[in-house]
Amino acid sequence: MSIESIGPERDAELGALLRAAFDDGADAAFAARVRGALVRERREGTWDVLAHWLRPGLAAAAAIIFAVLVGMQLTPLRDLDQPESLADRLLAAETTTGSDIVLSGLVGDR
Amino acid sequence: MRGGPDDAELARRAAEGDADAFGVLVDRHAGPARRVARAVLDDPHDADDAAQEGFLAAWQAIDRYDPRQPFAPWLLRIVINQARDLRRRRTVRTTTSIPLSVEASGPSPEAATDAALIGDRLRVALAGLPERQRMVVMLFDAEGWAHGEIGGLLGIPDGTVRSELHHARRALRQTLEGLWKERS
Repeated sequence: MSIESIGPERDAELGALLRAAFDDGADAAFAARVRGALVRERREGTWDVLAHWLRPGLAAAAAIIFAVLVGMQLTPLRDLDQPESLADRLLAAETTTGSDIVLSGLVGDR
Repeated sequence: MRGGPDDAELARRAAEGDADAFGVLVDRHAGPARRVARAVLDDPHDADDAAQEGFLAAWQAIDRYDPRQPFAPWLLRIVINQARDLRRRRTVRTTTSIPLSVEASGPSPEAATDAALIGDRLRVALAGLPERQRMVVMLFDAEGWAHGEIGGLLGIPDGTVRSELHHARRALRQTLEGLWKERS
Protein backbone atom coordinates (compact mmCIF):
# COMPACT_ATOMS: atom_id res chain seq x y z
CA MET A 1 0.00 0.00 0.00
CA SER A 2 1.41 3.41 -0.97
CA ILE A 3 0.20 6.95 -0.46
CA GLU A 4 -0.42 7.22 -4.19
CA SER A 5 -2.65 4.17 -4.05
CA ILE A 6 -4.99 5.88 -1.62
CA GLY A 7 -7.63 7.21 -3.91
CA PRO A 8 -11.16 8.31 -3.26
CA GLU A 9 -12.20 4.71 -2.64
CA ARG A 10 -12.62 3.50 0.89
CA ASP A 11 -11.28 0.48 2.65
CA ALA A 12 -14.74 -0.96 3.12
CA GLU A 13 -13.55 -3.88 5.21
CA LEU A 14 -11.53 -1.74 7.59
CA GLY A 15 -14.36 0.79 7.81
CA ALA A 16 -16.88 -1.88 8.72
CA LEU A 17 -14.52 -3.33 11.34
CA LEU A 18 -13.93 0.12 12.83
CA ARG A 19 -17.65 0.86 13.03
CA ALA A 20 -18.23 -2.54 14.61
CA ALA A 21 -15.39 -1.96 17.08
CA PHE A 22 -17.10 1.17 18.37
CA ASP A 23 -20.67 -0.05 18.03
CA ASP A 24 -21.81 -0.96 21.50
CA GLY A 25 -25.48 -0.96 20.50
CA ALA A 26 -26.09 2.04 22.72
CA ASP A 27 -26.66 4.76 20.13
CA ALA A 28 -30.40 4.84 20.82
CA ALA A 29 -29.84 5.02 24.58
CA PHE A 30 -27.32 7.78 24.06
CA ALA A 31 -29.75 9.73 21.85
CA ALA A 32 -32.42 9.38 24.54
CA ARG A 33 -29.96 10.70 27.11
CA VAL A 34 -29.17 13.73 24.93
CA ARG A 35 -32.88 14.39 24.37
CA GLY A 36 -33.41 14.33 28.14
CA ALA A 37 -30.53 16.75 28.62
CA LEU A 38 -32.08 19.03 25.99
CA VAL A 39 -35.39 19.09 27.85
CA ARG A 40 -33.62 19.88 31.12
CA GLU A 41 -31.58 22.60 29.50
CA ARG A 42 -34.64 24.20 27.91
CA ARG A 43 -36.40 24.22 31.27
CA GLU A 44 -33.40 25.65 33.08
CA GLY A 45 -32.80 28.05 30.21
CA THR A 46 -36.28 29.49 30.59
CA TRP A 47 -35.75 30.12 34.30
CA ASP A 48 -32.32 31.56 33.59
CA VAL A 49 -33.86 34.04 31.16
CA LEU A 50 -36.51 35.01 33.69
CA ALA A 51 -33.93 35.32 36.45
CA HIS A 52 -31.73 37.35 34.14
CA TRP A 53 -34.50 39.84 33.49
CA LEU A 54 -35.86 39.94 37.05
CA ARG A 55 -33.50 42.56 38.44
CA PRO A 56 -33.53 44.94 35.44
CA GLY A 57 -37.30 44.51 35.25
CA LEU A 58 -37.79 45.46 38.88
CA ALA A 59 -35.41 48.40 38.49
CA ALA A 60 -37.27 49.62 35.41
CA ALA A 61 -40.63 49.32 37.16
CA ALA A 62 -39.32 51.24 40.18
CA ALA A 63 -37.92 53.96 37.91
CA ILE A 64 -41.26 54.35 36.12
CA ILE A 65 -43.18 54.55 39.39
CA PHE A 66 -40.68 57.10 40.71
CA ALA A 67 -40.96 59.19 37.54
CA VAL A 68 -44.75 59.16 37.70
CA LEU A 69 -44.73 60.21 41.36
CA VAL A 70 -42.23 63.02 40.70
CA GLY A 71 -44.26 64.15 37.71
CA MET A 72 -47.41 64.32 39.80
CA GLN A 73 -45.60 66.42 42.41
CA LEU A 74 -44.15 68.89 39.91
CA THR A 75 -47.17 69.40 37.65
CA PRO A 76 -49.64 71.90 39.22
CA LEU A 77 -53.22 70.84 39.03
CA ARG A 78 -55.07 72.95 36.54
CA ASP A 79 -57.89 75.06 37.83
CA LEU A 80 -60.90 73.43 36.33
CA ASP A 81 -62.92 76.63 36.65
CA GLN A 82 -60.68 78.42 34.17
CA PRO A 83 -61.10 76.84 30.74
CA GLU A 84 -57.87 77.24 28.86
CA SER A 85 -58.09 75.42 25.61
CA LEU A 86 -60.02 76.58 22.58
CA ALA A 87 -62.29 73.59 22.91
CA ASP A 88 -62.92 74.35 26.56
CA ARG A 89 -63.72 77.95 25.75
CA LEU A 90 -66.05 76.98 22.93
CA LEU A 91 -67.88 74.57 25.16
CA ALA A 92 -68.07 77.08 27.98
CA ALA A 93 -69.15 80.00 25.79
CA GLU A 94 -72.59 81.39 26.55
CA THR A 95 -72.65 84.90 25.20
CA THR A 96 -69.87 85.26 22.69
CA THR A 97 -70.15 83.58 19.34
CA GLY A 98 -67.99 80.67 18.30
CA SER A 99 -66.32 82.60 15.52
CA ASP A 100 -65.10 85.26 18.00
CA ILE A 101 -63.60 82.60 20.15
CA VAL A 102 -61.87 80.90 17.26
CA LEU A 103 -60.53 84.21 15.99
CA SER A 104 -59.24 85.24 19.36
CA GLY A 105 -57.68 81.82 19.71
CA LEU A 106 -55.81 82.28 16.45
CA VAL A 107 -54.65 85.92 16.84
CA GLY A 108 -54.56 86.07 20.61
CA ASP A 109 -56.38 88.51 22.84
CA ARG A 110 -55.19 91.61 20.99
CA MET B 1 -32.02 5.75 2.75
CA ARG B 2 -33.72 7.45 5.62
CA GLY B 3 -37.09 9.08 5.26
CA GLY B 4 -38.47 12.29 6.62
CA PRO B 5 -37.16 15.81 6.32
CA ASP B 6 -33.52 16.34 5.45
CA ASP B 7 -30.99 17.65 7.94
CA ALA B 8 -31.17 21.23 6.70
CA GLU B 9 -34.94 21.32 7.12
CA LEU B 10 -34.68 19.84 10.61
CA ALA B 11 -31.98 22.34 11.52
CA ARG B 12 -34.18 25.19 10.27
CA ARG B 13 -37.03 24.01 12.47
CA ALA B 14 -34.65 23.58 15.40
CA ALA B 15 -33.44 27.14 14.92
CA GLU B 16 -37.07 28.21 15.37
CA GLY B 17 -37.12 26.41 18.71
CA ASP B 18 -38.43 23.01 17.65
CA ALA B 19 -36.62 20.70 20.07
CA ASP B 20 -38.25 17.62 18.54
CA ALA B 21 -36.68 18.44 15.17
CA PHE B 22 -33.31 18.69 16.84
CA GLY B 23 -34.05 15.38 18.57
CA VAL B 24 -34.36 13.73 15.15
CA LEU B 25 -30.93 15.13 14.26
CA VAL B 26 -29.61 13.65 17.50
CA ASP B 27 -31.04 10.25 16.55
CA ARG B 28 -29.50 10.43 13.09
CA HIS B 29 -26.03 11.56 14.10
CA ALA B 30 -25.60 9.88 17.49
CA GLY B 31 -23.50 7.04 16.05
CA PRO B 32 -20.98 9.12 14.09
CA ALA B 33 -20.74 11.68 16.90
CA ARG B 34 -19.94 8.98 19.46
CA ARG B 35 -17.40 7.29 17.19
CA VAL B 36 -15.65 10.55 16.36
CA ALA B 37 -15.52 11.44 20.05
CA ARG B 38 -14.01 8.00 20.67
CA ALA B 39 -11.33 8.81 18.11
CA VAL B 40 -10.28 11.68 20.37
CA LEU B 41 -10.91 10.17 23.79
CA ASP B 42 -9.94 6.68 24.84
CA ASP B 43 -12.53 6.34 27.54
CA PRO B 44 -16.00 5.53 26.15
CA HIS B 45 -17.79 7.35 28.97
CA ASP B 46 -15.72 10.48 28.41
CA ALA B 47 -16.42 10.18 24.70
CA ASP B 48 -20.17 10.00 25.31
CA ASP B 49 -19.98 12.99 27.65
CA ALA B 50 -18.15 14.96 24.99
CA ALA B 51 -20.60 13.90 22.28
CA GLN B 52 -23.50 14.95 24.49
CA GLU B 53 -21.87 18.30 25.24
CA GLY B 54 -21.33 18.68 21.52
CA PHE B 55 -25.01 18.13 20.77
CA LEU B 56 -26.04 20.62 23.46
CA ALA B 57 -23.57 23.18 22.13
CA ALA B 58 -24.92 22.59 18.62
CA TRP B 59 -28.46 23.14 19.89
CA GLN B 60 -27.45 26.45 21.41
CA ALA B 61 -25.68 27.50 18.22
CA ILE B 62 -28.17 26.06 15.74
CA ASP B 63 -29.15 29.50 14.44
CA ARG B 64 -25.56 29.94 13.25
CA TYR B 65 -25.65 26.79 11.11
CA ASP B 66 -25.69 27.50 7.38
CA PRO B 67 -28.27 25.10 5.87
CA ARG B 68 -26.51 25.30 2.48
CA GLN B 69 -23.65 23.32 4.03
CA PRO B 70 -23.90 19.67 5.11
CA PHE B 71 -24.97 19.32 8.72
CA ALA B 72 -22.72 16.43 9.79
CA PRO B 73 -19.35 18.21 9.40
CA TRP B 74 -20.70 21.25 11.25
CA LEU B 75 -21.92 19.08 14.11
CA LEU B 76 -18.85 16.85 14.26
CA ARG B 77 -16.53 19.83 14.35
CA ILE B 78 -18.34 20.93 17.53
CA VAL B 79 -18.15 17.40 18.95
CA ILE B 80 -14.43 17.19 18.23
CA ASN B 81 -13.82 20.52 19.95
CA GLN B 82 -15.79 19.37 22.98
CA ALA B 83 -13.82 16.12 23.06
CA ARG B 84 -10.52 17.98 22.88
CA ASP B 85 -11.61 20.33 25.66
CA LEU B 86 -12.62 17.39 27.80
CA ARG B 87 -9.33 15.63 27.13
CA ARG B 88 -7.44 18.74 28.24
CA ARG B 89 -9.48 18.88 31.45
CA ARG B 90 -8.93 15.16 32.04
CA THR B 91 -5.21 15.52 31.39
CA VAL B 92 -5.00 18.18 34.04
CA ARG B 93 -6.96 16.03 36.46
CA THR B 94 -5.14 12.76 35.91
CA THR B 95 -2.03 11.63 34.11
CA THR B 96 -2.96 7.99 33.79
CA SER B 97 -3.70 6.61 30.35
CA ILE B 98 -4.79 3.36 28.87
CA PRO B 99 -1.74 1.11 28.68
CA LEU B 100 -1.06 -0.24 25.22
CA SER B 101 -0.07 -3.56 26.79
CA VAL B 102 -3.77 -4.28 26.96
CA GLU B 103 -3.24 -5.79 23.51
CA ALA B 104 -1.20 -8.59 24.96
CA SER B 105 -3.45 -9.24 27.91
CA GLY B 106 -6.70 -9.19 25.98
CA PRO B 107 -9.02 -12.14 25.75
CA SER B 108 -7.68 -15.12 23.85
CA PRO B 109 -9.23 -16.04 20.53
CA GLU B 110 -10.70 -19.12 22.14
CA ALA B 111 -12.35 -17.13 24.90
CA ALA B 112 -13.96 -14.38 22.89
CA THR B 113 -16.02 -14.10 19.80
CA ASP B 114 -14.25 -13.03 16.65
CA ALA B 115 -16.00 -9.69 16.47
CA ALA B 116 -15.28 -8.83 20.08
CA LEU B 117 -11.63 -9.76 19.72
CA ILE B 118 -11.16 -7.80 16.52
CA GLY B 119 -12.95 -4.88 18.12
CA ASP B 120 -10.69 -4.98 21.16
CA ARG B 121 -7.55 -5.10 19.05
CA LEU B 122 -8.69 -2.34 16.73
CA ARG B 123 -9.64 -0.04 19.61
CA VAL B 124 -6.26 -0.53 21.21
CA ALA B 125 -4.44 -0.07 17.91
CA LEU B 126 -6.43 3.05 17.15
CA ALA B 127 -5.71 4.45 20.61
CA GLY B 128 -2.01 4.04 19.86
CA LEU B 129 -2.17 6.26 16.77
CA PRO B 130 -1.71 10.03 16.79
CA GLU B 131 -5.01 11.85 17.06
CA ARG B 132 -4.93 13.15 13.51
CA GLN B 133 -4.49 9.66 12.08
CA ARG B 134 -7.30 8.37 14.26
CA MET B 135 -9.60 11.12 13.04
CA VAL B 136 -8.68 10.66 9.38
CA VAL B 137 -9.13 6.90 9.22
CA MET B 138 -12.32 7.03 11.25
CA LEU B 139 -13.86 9.80 9.16
CA PHE B 140 -12.74 8.40 5.80
CA ASP B 141 -13.17 4.66 6.12
CA ALA B 142 -15.79 4.38 8.86
CA GLU B 143 -17.88 7.50 8.27
CA GLY B 144 -17.49 7.91 4.53
CA TRP B 145 -16.20 11.45 4.39
CA ALA B 146 -14.24 12.79 1.39
CA HIS B 147 -10.59 13.83 1.68
CA GLY B 148 -11.52 17.47 1.16
CA GLU B 149 -14.15 17.39 3.90
CA ILE B 150 -11.69 15.89 6.35
CA GLY B 151 -9.04 18.41 5.37
CA GLY B 152 -11.51 21.22 5.92
CA LEU B 153 -12.53 19.87 9.28
CA LEU B 154 -9.03 19.32 10.57
CA GLY B 155 -7.48 22.31 8.82
CA ILE B 156 -4.95 20.29 6.82
CA PRO B 157 -4.31 19.90 3.05
CA ASP B 158 -5.68 16.96 1.08
CA GLY B 159 -2.19 15.54 0.68
CA THR B 160 -1.74 15.43 4.43
CA VAL B 161 -5.09 13.70 4.79
CA ARG B 162 -3.95 11.01 2.34
CA SER B 163 -0.64 10.64 4.09
CA GLU B 164 -2.22 10.31 7.53
CA LEU B 165 -4.74 7.85 6.13
CA HIS B 166 -1.94 5.77 4.66
CA HIS B 167 -0.09 5.56 7.98
CA ALA B 168 -3.23 4.84 9.97
CA ARG B 169 -4.37 2.10 7.62
CA ARG B 170 -0.98 0.49 7.61
CA ALA B 171 -0.88 0.38 11.41
CA LEU B 172 -4.40 -0.98 11.69
CA ARG B 173 -3.80 -3.53 8.94
CA GLN B 174 -0.68 -4.71 10.73
CA THR B 175 -2.74 -5.24 13.85
CA LEU B 176 -5.31 -7.24 11.93
CA GLU B 177 -2.69 -9.30 10.12
CA GLY B 178 -1.06 -10.07 13.45
CA LEU B 179 -4.37 -11.28 14.70
CA TRP B 180 -4.93 -13.49 11.65
CA LYS B 181 -1.46 -15.03 12.05
CA GLU B 182 -2.02 -15.56 15.76
CA ARG B 183 -5.17 -17.48 15.06
CA SER B 184 -3.89 -19.58 12.16
